Amino acid sequence: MSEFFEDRGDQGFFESFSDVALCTLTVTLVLLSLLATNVRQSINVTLNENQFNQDALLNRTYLTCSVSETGEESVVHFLDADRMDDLISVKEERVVGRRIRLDGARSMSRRHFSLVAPGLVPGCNAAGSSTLVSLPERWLPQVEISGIRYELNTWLSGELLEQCSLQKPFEGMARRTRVYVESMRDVDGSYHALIGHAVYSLPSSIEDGSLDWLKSFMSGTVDLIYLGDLSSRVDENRRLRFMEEQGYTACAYDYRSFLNRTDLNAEAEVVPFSAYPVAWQAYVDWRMEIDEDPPTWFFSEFLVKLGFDRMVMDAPVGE
Amino acid sequence: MKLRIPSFWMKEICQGACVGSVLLWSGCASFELTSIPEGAVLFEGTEQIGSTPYPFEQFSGERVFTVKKAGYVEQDVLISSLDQKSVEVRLDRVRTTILNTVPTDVRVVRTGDSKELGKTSLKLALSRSEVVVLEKEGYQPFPMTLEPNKTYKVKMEPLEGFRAATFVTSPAGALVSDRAVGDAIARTPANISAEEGTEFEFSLEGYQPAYYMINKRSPSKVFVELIPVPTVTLLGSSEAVVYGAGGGDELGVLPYTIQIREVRAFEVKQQGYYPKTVTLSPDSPVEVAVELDPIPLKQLRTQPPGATVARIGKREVLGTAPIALLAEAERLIEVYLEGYARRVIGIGPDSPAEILVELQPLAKDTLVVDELQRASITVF
Repeated sequence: MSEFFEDRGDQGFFESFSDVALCTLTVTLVLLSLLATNVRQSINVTLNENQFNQDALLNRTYLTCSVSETGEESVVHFLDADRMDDLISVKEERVVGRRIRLDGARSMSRRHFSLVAPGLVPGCNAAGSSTLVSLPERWLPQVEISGIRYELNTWLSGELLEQCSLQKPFEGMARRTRVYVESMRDVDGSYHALIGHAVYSLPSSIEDGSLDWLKSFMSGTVDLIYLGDLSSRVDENRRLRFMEEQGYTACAYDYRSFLNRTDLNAEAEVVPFSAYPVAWQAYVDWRMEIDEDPPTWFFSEFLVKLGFDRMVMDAPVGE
Repeated sequence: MKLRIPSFWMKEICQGACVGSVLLWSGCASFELTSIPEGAVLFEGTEQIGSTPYPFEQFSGERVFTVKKAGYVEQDVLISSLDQKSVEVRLDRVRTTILNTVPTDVRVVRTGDSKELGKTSLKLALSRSEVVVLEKEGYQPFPMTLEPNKTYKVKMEPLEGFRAATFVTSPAGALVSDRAVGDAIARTPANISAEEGTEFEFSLEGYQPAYYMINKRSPSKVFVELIPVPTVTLLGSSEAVVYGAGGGDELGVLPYTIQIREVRAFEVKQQGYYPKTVTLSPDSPVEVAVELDPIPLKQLRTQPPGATVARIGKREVLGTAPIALLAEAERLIEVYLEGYARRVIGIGPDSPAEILVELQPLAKDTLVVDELQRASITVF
């Protein structure tokens, strides 16, 4: 009997040891899983801002304006922040001026910009700053367009940014720059894409490069947001009707005058949707609330040809 | 009754009266005291009684008058009733009473009121005799009466255990003082009586002090030759300034001559040079050249001026050009100005004193757009 009890005593010791080891292993595994989850969440937070191409592009674009020496022509440039920051940071070492080639697609006339400005919405990066900002004043390069000398005008750049009337709609949450797009099919069957007041005929505007500026944003710094379709069989302007019905009469009046003007090439004009941001914001909110699906031709004639796909159309959520 | 005097008795009476009157006249006649010059004041005792000419009656005895007149020696006159009736006193003018002593510098003290009349050699204008005592430390007091208009020469006798000697220095005029006590005694040449064992110090500006101890065998005349204090002249740049060592006052600029009695340190300073301490002693050569080592300051200028000068890395800003930089060793500095390219230069002791850094303006970069895309858009 005594041997029996002694054997039981040894067995109890080993059982206790295995229990302790098992508990330790269990706790370790739980801790490791929690740690891994936490790291993954951190990585996800980092990647979410750059989820388009999974790279580490800065969620910021410089917008600047250059004016010809005669002052008659103004050109707006979109400059990638990552590239420009590199150029700016080493400026002290340069005694010989650098010639930095810009893609012509990233520049547009001031009139062109004024028309699309209501459709451009500066986002907000993780630091809380706007994603569409003026070029730092400490770096003022000269501009040469088609061999003609231009000078950067930081003041005018700020003025142009003000024309992006839908400012800070994100309440500090990280968002990329937004481009609001509407579709319209004319009575003659032609397709159009609308950004702000600008109407691009499809596919000619893609073929002649009028929409190259939008192509150049396919770097993960822009969200393309579809607002809805403006096609009407009775030649009705839904925007105008909205303004009038919702009581934005001043905006509606100016908008009507704007549409009826004769000099369509006039520059330095603040377009109605930039001049009346409240009315324009109400219209955008209304269209967003409807959450209309784009017509089929909009994918085939516009998005696919520009290089976008359906994923791009989805507004990022959860940030 | 009528008294009848016989004629021969009358004759006898008349003769007697005549003799009596003569006797009377001769024994109680009037005196007159005159003086040359006149107008002297007469004192009898302490009482002023009149002035000359002074007539008076004296029938018997003697009277003593004191005749005083300003500027003249006062004189006592004794007049007896048996003297002549007219007494004339000739007053002497007050001249100088000279009192010389060996040694000199003896105090002359009036006995009556212990007032010191002066120290020998002494010239006095006495209108009457003065009883004085000659006093000098180391000598026996010498009482005497000074008469007006007299010249005296008194040789003082040293006290017991004292010895008198005449001290002569070359050059003369040295101040003799008791080295133990420090009191100044006299200036050479001087005849001094002092207790044996007394040590004298002879000091004269520009000369080293000399010492002599008087003893039994000391000669009556001691000759002391004073040795000039050595002077040292510091030579060097006329812009260098001499200061007392240890933050002392400014003494002068080079060349600077100073008497060196003992070992002494000086500091020579000049702008742009390291200060140097020079120690001099009486044995130093007459001329000592002081050569200062220049501080290796480099004057840095920039073109355009106004650039910021900093240590490499901009961690320590040294100042704004033009600036003087200390270049004791090789070092790198950074020069930068807004709108100009940053320059890094090395300076060291061998660098030129004037360094000009020409800054290259930053060239503007150019954004080149080969061709601006023309957009075909309409408005909605």
